Amino acid sequence: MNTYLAFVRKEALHILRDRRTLLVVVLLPIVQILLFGFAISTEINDLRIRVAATDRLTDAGRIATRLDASPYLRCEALDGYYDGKNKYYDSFSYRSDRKNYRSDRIDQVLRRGEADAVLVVDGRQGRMQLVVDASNPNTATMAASYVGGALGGGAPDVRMLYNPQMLSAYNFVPGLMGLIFVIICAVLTSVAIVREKETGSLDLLLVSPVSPFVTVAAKMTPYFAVSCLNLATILALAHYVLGVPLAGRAGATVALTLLYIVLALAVGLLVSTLVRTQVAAMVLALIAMMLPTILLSGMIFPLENAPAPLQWLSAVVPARWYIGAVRKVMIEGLSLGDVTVELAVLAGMTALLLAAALKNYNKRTD
Amino acid sequence: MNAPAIATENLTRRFGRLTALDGVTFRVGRGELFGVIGPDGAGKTTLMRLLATLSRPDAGRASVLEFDTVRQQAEVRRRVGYMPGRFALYPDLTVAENLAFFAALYRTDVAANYDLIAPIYGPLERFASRPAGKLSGGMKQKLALSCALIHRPDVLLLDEPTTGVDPVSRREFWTILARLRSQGMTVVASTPYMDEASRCDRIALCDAGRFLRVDSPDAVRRSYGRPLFGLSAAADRHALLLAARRDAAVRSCYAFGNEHHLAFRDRPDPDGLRDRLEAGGFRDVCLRPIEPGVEDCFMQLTERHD
Repeated sequence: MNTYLAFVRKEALHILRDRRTLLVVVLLPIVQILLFGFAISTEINDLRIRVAATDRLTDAGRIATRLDASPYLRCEALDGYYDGKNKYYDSFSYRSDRKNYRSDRIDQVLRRGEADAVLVVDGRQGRMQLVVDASNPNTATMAASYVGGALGGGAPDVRMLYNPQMLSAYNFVPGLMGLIFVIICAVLTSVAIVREKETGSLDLLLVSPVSPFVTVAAKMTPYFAVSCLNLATILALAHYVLGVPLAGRAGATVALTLLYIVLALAVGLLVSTLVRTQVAAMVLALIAMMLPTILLSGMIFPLENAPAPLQWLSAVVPARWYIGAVRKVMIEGLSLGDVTVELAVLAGMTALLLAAALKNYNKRTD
Repeated sequence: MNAPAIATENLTRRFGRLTALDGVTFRVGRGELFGVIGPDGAGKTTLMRLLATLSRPDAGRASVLEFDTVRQQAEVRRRVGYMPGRFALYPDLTVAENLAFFAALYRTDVAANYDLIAPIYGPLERFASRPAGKLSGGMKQKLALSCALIHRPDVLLLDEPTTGVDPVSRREFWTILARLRSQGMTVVASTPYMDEASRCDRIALCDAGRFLRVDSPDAVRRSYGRPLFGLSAAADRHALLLAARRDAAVRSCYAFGNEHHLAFRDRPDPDGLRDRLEAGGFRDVCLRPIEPGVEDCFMQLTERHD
């Protein structure tokens, strides 16, 4: 026990003396959460819509007011003016000689990026057409559905469960948690162990009577502690700054995450037994863990749309199970009992990785 | 002699197609200062790692204090102090922190063993709070030795402890090893410096994974078995070396510090050789009888080996 504590103290000193690592470890989660929370938002606010009427009789103003009421849309006339009180919409009579001018003008507005969509209203025929800039399909889809929704064009009354405002934070906070712990645990742990290989101090540890179990546990402890600190930071930021509800299941979220942290540490340990240099450890940990976590976990790209082989492949990505489970627990408010499959898969993976890592570690270093 | 501190039998270690250690058999008595001497690539580090239980032999066996290095590695590890050739302590930890950590690894503490390391660690005490990475080469070696000694090992394994260390520190280091030996510790040290052989009780000359000879330094020197001459001249030394080697009467001629070491094929004929060299254009040719050193023996042994 004494040896273990001395070991943990030594590891803690390594972390504390390496300012750069310390900075990464402490700031990375905060920066990522804030960055994703405020800067990189996948929600679309402030879509700019221009409204054009084909004739003076059409009440384009009323339609524009309705669109404007939506917080996501900002409405302007295509070629109108605003007298301080009312918006006036130009309403050229729909004459054949002006027809081309009109569609040219719409093109121009979209091309210059002055608007994301133009709504053309033809009151006499009772028809409307929405011309959308679809160069960004995401924006285009959102614009179409926002405008459709705002006009109430016979669409069903939609109720968004769990995330009524469709906040992207609900999606990315679990995703970011899946990513951050992989970076901190897997990458930093593997680099920390491989550093000892590189400098030769691992040999000194191996020739000492200390069991590899103690060595490995002591190596992981400080990173585990740091991860717990990060978990607290992330949950606090998510809840108080981004307004993610935690759905009254903070305990279950924490339990799930602790399991995931141990798993990520086991990955780091396994990586460290496979490579000889710190650079190789970093690359392997990043490729083996970070890329699949970003691409195949459903964090950013919905897995449901992926080709079947990729969906199968994603089954071995721990983050997929973790992120799925955290969403259920944190956002939907399910209990741990409802995510037993995910828990079992994660626990199984952890046991397997730890066993493989310890078996490899026990081999001598040459 | 009672049971040996170290005994190996046909110890062999291969790395792929390279045989780093090729059937080495030797014994080290308790309380002996044993030198493993040979050039880079001779298998010194491989041997040390095998004895330290860091690596497993492909064939043969080794025992330390009668414990097998494979089957009883825990027993071996408790009793052995190992110092690798490269500085392997933690450069970001201070001198005192390194020492305390290694004491804790062996479930002991610095105070309990301070008497043993005092002569070595003493000069380092002033730098106790300095990061180990910022010490000078000689200081690093002393700290590494202190860490290897902190658990009072019965056997000390040192892999090239004096490589890359200045001559004064080297001399000092061997004095420290001699003192540890006189306290009853068995010390095995490897070195590429042949001049350090005389500091050992017995030495093993090794090359290309084999032990060429294991004996006391004096016995090794005596085994040279033929008169040896120091050859020097005013002219270009390299040309002199080549000219001497071309001479039919010369058995071997090797470049050493100030003069070439030369042995004759049959009966020594220094005067005849001097005449022939001077006839060949060398001035002030001087041939004087000298005592063979360990390096001469090593050269002779590797010659036969080729």
